[in-house]
Amino acid sequence: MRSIYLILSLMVLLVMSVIGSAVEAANLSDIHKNPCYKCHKRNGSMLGVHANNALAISCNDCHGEKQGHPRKASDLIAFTPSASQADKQNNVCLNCHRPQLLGQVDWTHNVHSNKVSCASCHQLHPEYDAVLTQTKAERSQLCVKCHTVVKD
Amino acid sequence: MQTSKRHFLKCTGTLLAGVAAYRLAYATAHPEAKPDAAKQYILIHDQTQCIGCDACAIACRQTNQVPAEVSRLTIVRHGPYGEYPNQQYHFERQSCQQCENAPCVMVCPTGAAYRDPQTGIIKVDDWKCVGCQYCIAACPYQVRFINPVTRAADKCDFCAETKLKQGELPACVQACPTQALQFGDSLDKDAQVRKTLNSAAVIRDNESLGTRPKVFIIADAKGEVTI
Repeated sequence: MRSIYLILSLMVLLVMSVIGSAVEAANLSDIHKNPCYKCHKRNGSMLGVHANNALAISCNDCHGEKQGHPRKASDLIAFTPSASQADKQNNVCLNCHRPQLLGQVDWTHNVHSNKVSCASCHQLHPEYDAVLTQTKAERSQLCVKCHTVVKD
Repeated sequence: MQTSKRHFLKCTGTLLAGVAAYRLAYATAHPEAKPDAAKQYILIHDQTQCIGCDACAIACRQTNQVPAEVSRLTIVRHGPYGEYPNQQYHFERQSCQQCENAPCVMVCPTGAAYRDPQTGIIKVDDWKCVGCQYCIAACPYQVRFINPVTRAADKCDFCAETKLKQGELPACVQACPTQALQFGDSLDKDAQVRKTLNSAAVIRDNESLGTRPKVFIIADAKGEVTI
């Protein structure tokens, strides 16, 4: 008797999760039809402006071509908050974003230019980029996080 | 009437003489009661280290409860200079310069603006200020304002009430991540500020006015015209 309840509840959970994922898939943009998503589903969904169907951006547009990935070598780019790869990473963003316009929107773009990766402050996979809605104090603390000189 | 006036003057005179004699005797008997040695607080803004993060201005507002529509400390950004991707900015600190020869103190009709002889800091006595704004007009650095809460003239006082009294550094100095701000007593021979003054090329804003400001600047060469 007990095991029947257990099996029943498991089945209910299974059905619910299938329905849930179907609903989620219906809301997701076309970028999720990209073959990358078959394996990279575990990395979460692609939301926000860059996932907009009208832009028709594919994963490869930013991350580069698959080439030998995952078994052999490839030139795929991961957008991480690193300074060493900043120039390489930012050149991808600069395919669409003009440095002059970015500088007009916010002066810090000009000073960080190709020295700090965009991903150090910006996140474009989540629905909203957290840095855009920061308060003045939070933003200042973001500067402080990297620029702190250790007191002697 | 005449008698009572004479009587009043006599009494007052005696009383004043008594108080003066007592004070003289007290000061002679208690030499240790003399106030601490006077200080001359100064601030050095190293523009070459400043990154314009505004942490100082935010900390100042929070510490001194400065209302949003006014400010005691502002960082003014000049630039960009140069071409992408090597552009730079120049950051200027706007706040009270704590002039030794302060125009605001000279014009204040009520004595609300005064120079504290113990610290060299220019302060404002809220209750004495009548809000005539003479000081605001006289200040060549344009850093004074009427605080909408107290209705008195207000400005930076090196956090004399909010931080120095607790033995802490001013809020802006504490908040600066790059150590672009140095604060200390310039009369203290061992103070870091004094060493900096002796070793770095410092300038002061509008020195030619003879105000003898106590905010020193290590000037940033960025944005300078090169010949």
